[in-house]
Amino acid sequence: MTALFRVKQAAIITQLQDLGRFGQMDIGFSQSGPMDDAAFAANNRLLGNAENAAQLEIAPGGLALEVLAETTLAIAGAYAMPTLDGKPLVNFHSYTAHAGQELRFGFAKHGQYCYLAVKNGFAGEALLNSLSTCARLQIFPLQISKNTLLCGTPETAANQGLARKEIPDYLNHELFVLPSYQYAQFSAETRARFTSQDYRIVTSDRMGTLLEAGQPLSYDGGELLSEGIVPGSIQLTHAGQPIVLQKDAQTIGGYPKIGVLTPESRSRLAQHRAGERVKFTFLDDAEN
Amino acid sequence: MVNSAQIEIVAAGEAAWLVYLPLPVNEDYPAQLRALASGVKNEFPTLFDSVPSYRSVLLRFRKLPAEATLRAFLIRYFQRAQMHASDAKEVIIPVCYDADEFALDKDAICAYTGLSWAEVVRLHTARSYTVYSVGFIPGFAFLGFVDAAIACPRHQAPRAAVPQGSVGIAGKQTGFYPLQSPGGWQILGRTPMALYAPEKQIYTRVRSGDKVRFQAISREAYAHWSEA
Repeated sequence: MTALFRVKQAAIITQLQDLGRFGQMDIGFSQSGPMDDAAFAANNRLLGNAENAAQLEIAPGGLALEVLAETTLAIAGAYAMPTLDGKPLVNFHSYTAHAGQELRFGFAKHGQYCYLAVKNGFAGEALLNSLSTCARLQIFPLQISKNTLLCGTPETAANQGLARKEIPDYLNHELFVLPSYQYAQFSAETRARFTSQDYRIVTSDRMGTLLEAGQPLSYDGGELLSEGIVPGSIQLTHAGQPIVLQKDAQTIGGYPKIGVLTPESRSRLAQHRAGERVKFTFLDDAEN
Repeated sequence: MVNSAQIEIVAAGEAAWLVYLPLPVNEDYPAQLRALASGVKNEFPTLFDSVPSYRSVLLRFRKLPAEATLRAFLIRYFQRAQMHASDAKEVIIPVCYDADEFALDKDAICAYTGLSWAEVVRLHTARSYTVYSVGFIPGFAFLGFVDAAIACPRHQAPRAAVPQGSVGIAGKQTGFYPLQSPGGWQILGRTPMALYAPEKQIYTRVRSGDKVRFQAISREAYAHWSEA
């Protein structure tokens, strides 16, 4: 294991994430893993890594690193105008960095989460076979602050970029929903209202995205028993406003859920910020 | 015995099914659902997560089986249900109820129930509870159900930090906080037992379908408690 970088300046939130902590939901562990699955997958593909290789998730930017060993890295997700020794880097692209260089992230104009990957992945101390951070549960496979050494196995690889058509369109505000859970118990009127209006993002973090619309949605199906919930589930609060559950959400809940976002839409929503607006579209009608 | 014709299967996104057993929930459901999740795992090895809870089990797959395929399996499964022995166990949790710094809501519970503290403790420790669900935080068990005489509503405003090991009541449910967490349950005592200690590879003490019994211990026993 070799030190690849030294943290010169920590971002507000920089977390180590692999694909997530699986197989432990029945004892209450959140899945965790990257908020933007597409960006995370793109980085590991660009580097020829295993799909589970751990990366840094940087929110919203401001991270500065000193390169300690020659390695190939890749960046994806929100574009925080990263530079290597002051030279701008293209997003969804891999580069080879040399000892002594400085890698610096600015702040993104759009989006919330940037991903920094290295060839062979970052190292950390696994908990239950995962390097994913879950701050809600105080799980930190790597504590990152000023002067932290980020370790891995240095190796160089071809520098390449993703074709434009493979890059997620973060400015697309239409979210696709699979009818799920209590969908059939919602009235036809509520389902129609759900997809007919815009929603403003009130708050958004790794646990969930709270939305607000002009017309609240109602559920007449009665009290529910708590049941297992997956990331992307769209649950309604008592006030009739939706919350989309994200990667660090609880594993069970008793609110009614009208559907689940596709992983691609959940990732795009995660890259939206408070104040932005989105719309929902059902992918197909479960009653057809 | 579950009638498989009454089982509902509902989608939970593109890679999961929820299987519901018919209402009403009974105390055998959690262990049955846990055994069912193991049965599904044997039949469909791409199952990677399952969450039994009250009357449902969430089943997440790398490769989602068709609904009809899952249903056919469930019918076969419940036909031979008597063969599915549960590996559920009973866990005894020692609790110190007689220290004000542990029994944070002693006065509120006595006022609400109209019972003496000794009677509240007697009723809380008199039963074996069923683990209906585990979640919220690792190892947090939703146990049912307490004697109606000691059922208490949650706090209107949750505490910002309920201490690790606290034992509480919310409605007819009881449970414990394996790690410090925000929470609204009425707290009646604390256990010295480590409920979540990743450094010792303790991630949970219970799973759905297990039984839990609380055992009252003195302040002194709490201070000197160590795991046998």
